[in-house]
Amino acid sequence: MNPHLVLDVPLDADDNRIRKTYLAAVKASPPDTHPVRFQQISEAYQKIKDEPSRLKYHLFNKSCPGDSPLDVFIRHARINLKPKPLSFEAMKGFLRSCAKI
Amino acid sequence: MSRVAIGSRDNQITMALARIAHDEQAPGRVAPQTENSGQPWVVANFWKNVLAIQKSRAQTGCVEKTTLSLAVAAAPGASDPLALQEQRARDFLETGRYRKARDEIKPLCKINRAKYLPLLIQANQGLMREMISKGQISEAQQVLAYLKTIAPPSEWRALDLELAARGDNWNAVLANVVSMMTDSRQSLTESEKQCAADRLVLTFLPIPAGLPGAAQLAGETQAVHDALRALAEQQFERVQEALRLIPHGSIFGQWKMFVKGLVAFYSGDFARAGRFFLELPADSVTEKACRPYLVLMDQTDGRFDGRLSETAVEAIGHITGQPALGSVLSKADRCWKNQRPADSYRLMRALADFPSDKTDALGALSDFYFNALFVLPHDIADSYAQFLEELEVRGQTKSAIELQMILRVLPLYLEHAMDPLTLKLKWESFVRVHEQTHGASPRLASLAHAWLGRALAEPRQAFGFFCRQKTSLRDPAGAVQALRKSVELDPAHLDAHLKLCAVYESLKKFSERNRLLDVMTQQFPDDKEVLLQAGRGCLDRKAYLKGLEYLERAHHLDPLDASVADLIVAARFRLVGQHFRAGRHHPARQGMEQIKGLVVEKPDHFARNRWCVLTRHGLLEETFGDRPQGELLLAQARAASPFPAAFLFFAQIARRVETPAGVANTPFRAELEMVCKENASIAHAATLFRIYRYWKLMLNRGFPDEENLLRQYLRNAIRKPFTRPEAVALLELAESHPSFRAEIQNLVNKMLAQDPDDPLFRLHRHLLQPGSMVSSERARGDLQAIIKEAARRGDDKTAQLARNILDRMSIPPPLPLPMEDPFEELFEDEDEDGDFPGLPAEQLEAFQDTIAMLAGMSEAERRKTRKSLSKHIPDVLLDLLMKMSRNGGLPPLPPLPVPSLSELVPKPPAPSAGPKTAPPSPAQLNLFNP
Repeated sequence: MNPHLVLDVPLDADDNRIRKTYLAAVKASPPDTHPVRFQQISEAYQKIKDEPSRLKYHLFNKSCPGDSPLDVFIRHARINLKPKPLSFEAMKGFLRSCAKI
Repeated sequence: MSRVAIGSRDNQITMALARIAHDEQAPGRVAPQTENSGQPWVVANFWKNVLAIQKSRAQTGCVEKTTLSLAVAAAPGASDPLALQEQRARDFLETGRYRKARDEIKPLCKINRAKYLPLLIQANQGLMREMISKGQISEAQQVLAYLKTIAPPSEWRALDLELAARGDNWNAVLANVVSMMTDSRQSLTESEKQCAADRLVLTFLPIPAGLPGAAQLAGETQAVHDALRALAEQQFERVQEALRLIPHGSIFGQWKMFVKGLVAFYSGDFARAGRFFLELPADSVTEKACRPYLVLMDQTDGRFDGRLSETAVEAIGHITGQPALGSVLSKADRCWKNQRPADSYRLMRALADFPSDKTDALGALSDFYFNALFVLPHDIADSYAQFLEELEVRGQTKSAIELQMILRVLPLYLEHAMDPLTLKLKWESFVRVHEQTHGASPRLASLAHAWLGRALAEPRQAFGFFCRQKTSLRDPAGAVQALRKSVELDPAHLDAHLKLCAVYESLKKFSERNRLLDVMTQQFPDDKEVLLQAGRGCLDRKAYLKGLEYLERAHHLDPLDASVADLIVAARFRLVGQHFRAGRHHPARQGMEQIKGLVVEKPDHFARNRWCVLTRHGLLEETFGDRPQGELLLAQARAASPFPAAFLFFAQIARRVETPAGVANTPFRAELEMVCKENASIAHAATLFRIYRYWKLMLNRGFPDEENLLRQYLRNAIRKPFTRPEAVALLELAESHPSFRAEIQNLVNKMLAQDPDDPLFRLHRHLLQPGSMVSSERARGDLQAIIKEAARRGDDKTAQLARNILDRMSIPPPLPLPMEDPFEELFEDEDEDGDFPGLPAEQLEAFQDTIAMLAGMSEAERRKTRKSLSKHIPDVLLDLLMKMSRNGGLPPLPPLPVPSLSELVPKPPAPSAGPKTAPPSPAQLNLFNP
């Protein structure tokens, strides 16, 4: 998954901001309590920690972020899940469509 | 009832029955037995049953043997025929084949309605549900109508409601449900009540006031609606207030739980949300509605991931703020999973902002769609890459971002399959488009050009005359150009500098390399690799002092790097030698003292172990300095050496190197020959081999006299006893020296005499045979037997080696080129119109055919063909053929016949008169410059 997304930093963030965000993320997810998240954060940081790393990632990144489009979409949604409730009409339509499954 | 009577009713079916019965069972067996059973009603039922089934089959035009055999089996005398049919019907029901089950049960129901009616109802219910799920509403209504004639309301009420809901006729649903729930005469089951409650909520309509017994129902339904409305407005306290109106044990209990789960979800308390959601009844509306939330919270335990409904995917899109994505994604995902990536991409492409290079969901999906090339199976990835390339080549890309992404991924994916020119064009286009979309970035451009330079500088095998193998670079001129550009764009780009340096070295452009190294040492004064390269460059041009300065700096940066210390010692020895030869003994001995500071105590480290350093110093002193001191040093070296032959052999070569050329008969030689006769052993032979290899690699030259000495030593050693590990160690050292072939053969034969099945030595015997790599039945049989034996003995390494050889046998040998390396000059200067000496006519024609074939293809097809041809034709030749096919093929050949190479060379016109035919120009004959 895109390291900028994992660290929740914009694409144009500089080294300083990326490092600060990384340290905050590590503090929030220490390896003893959140080993998976910690690993994700560390790997993401290594990919974009300085300009040469960012440029290399941008040019040569070959990693596939999932197994299928839906898998990617779900993984992406899970990373920074900040959902807002559906509108009442959308919820109505959604619930009615569930009755038809 | 008799057969005649049946025949009169339906003669055609009876005849068919008789014919098939004749095949199935002995004619006359069924009927007489049936008739003689003395039970007329059974007989009547049997034939009635047969007829009913056959009629239904005859209507569709197929009278099946199986159907008849069913009927025959149902005959009295057969074993429990009704039970068999019933079992079949139950099997159909269990496997969800409701229509077939219904067809099986109907005739049974006619025989025994009381017994089989529940099964018939069950089959019709299943069929109806199936139709509803498929959206076949009118067909489901027909089944419902039939169901109403055979089943009590309790069996079809829920389905009736579901059908009404499907039709989105919510007012009708409301009326039905309310009447059903308020009618005291109807007693509803729990599941029916639940279903009715679901429908009431889903109407999202107020229950009319004043209906008897509906007040509570109306209040609770309204509470659920209010809670959902408050949730949509993120008023979580109001949600709780509304839910308080739903009492414990209410039929709306699951809705209460669902809404509470949603509140927890949107409050970020996923654990609590998961607890609520996982308690919802299976297959209820609320359970289906909570699935996307569970997926997003990663709490599904693998329940829905592979089969999320389109609705659920759409809901995920809504929940995550991507409402437009859901439906497209669902279809695209299906295509992808059916291994149709191009179709999947086409679907996604319909979305306005796809592909994207942002960090949003579309950006993640764009990364996926392009980088998937690297993980898809090769055949699927190839056709997907072809699809992407066609978008680019035909100018059908929808945005600059899409073009940029295609131009990035194709060269990365097809790096080895693309010919250098296309690779270069595409990658440079990528850099240009990237500049347009993201602005100029010299660092990024430098990185990009460095990648291109590295790709074009990949070594590859070229084949000279008689398949003589040579290693050349893929596109040396292109590589140099790209790397130079990279260095220009970003002078601080160290890797590009180092790569350019390595390319110059492999092209033997030493002056360019040295100039570059001078620049690099100023640009990167504290980089060990740069200093090491600079040091090597200086040693090559005999600038020992300058070289030593660089190497000392590198050593200071990394004192633990043994290769730096080795290089320093080598440089110092050269300098010391120079001083000794010039009679400058003092600086020479000072140099020796510095060398001694780097001495190691490893007997096999010939570059700077104690006895080797003493030997070299002793020889220099003995020859150019203090002779007694030299002899003393040599005596010390001999004492410190692992065995006399090692010292003698090392000293023999060192003397040849350090002292004036041509000295072959040293005192060491005579002694070595003597030791060789008396004390030769395979273990020591291995050490001598290492000494020989050390000198050979260090000075990049051979020593024929010493090689003969080693050969002699080896012959003597093989005559004496040795162990298998000793033999294996020697084999590993000697296998890369073809000049020791005969000795290796002896060694292998001796080992095989002890153990004829030893797989490793059998493999070596196979490889030592002439033409061992040529595929033949015998060779394949040998290798397979070796693999089998190696596997039996657990010798995986040998088994793998043998397998590799077998694999290589299946690749046809490369086509020989007509001259040693005709392309070398071309690489030096592509614009040069040098005469090409020509090709045999048949090869020229074959090339022309290939070029014509390639010229008629699209770029993608050309590449695919290139990939398949690359197994048979050297890359360098393929690249040229591809290039020529793009340029319109070869120039026309001179008129046939073209008998030989020499006749293609233009000759001076004959002195005799007559019509002159212009000889083909050199350019015409130059295959590589059309």
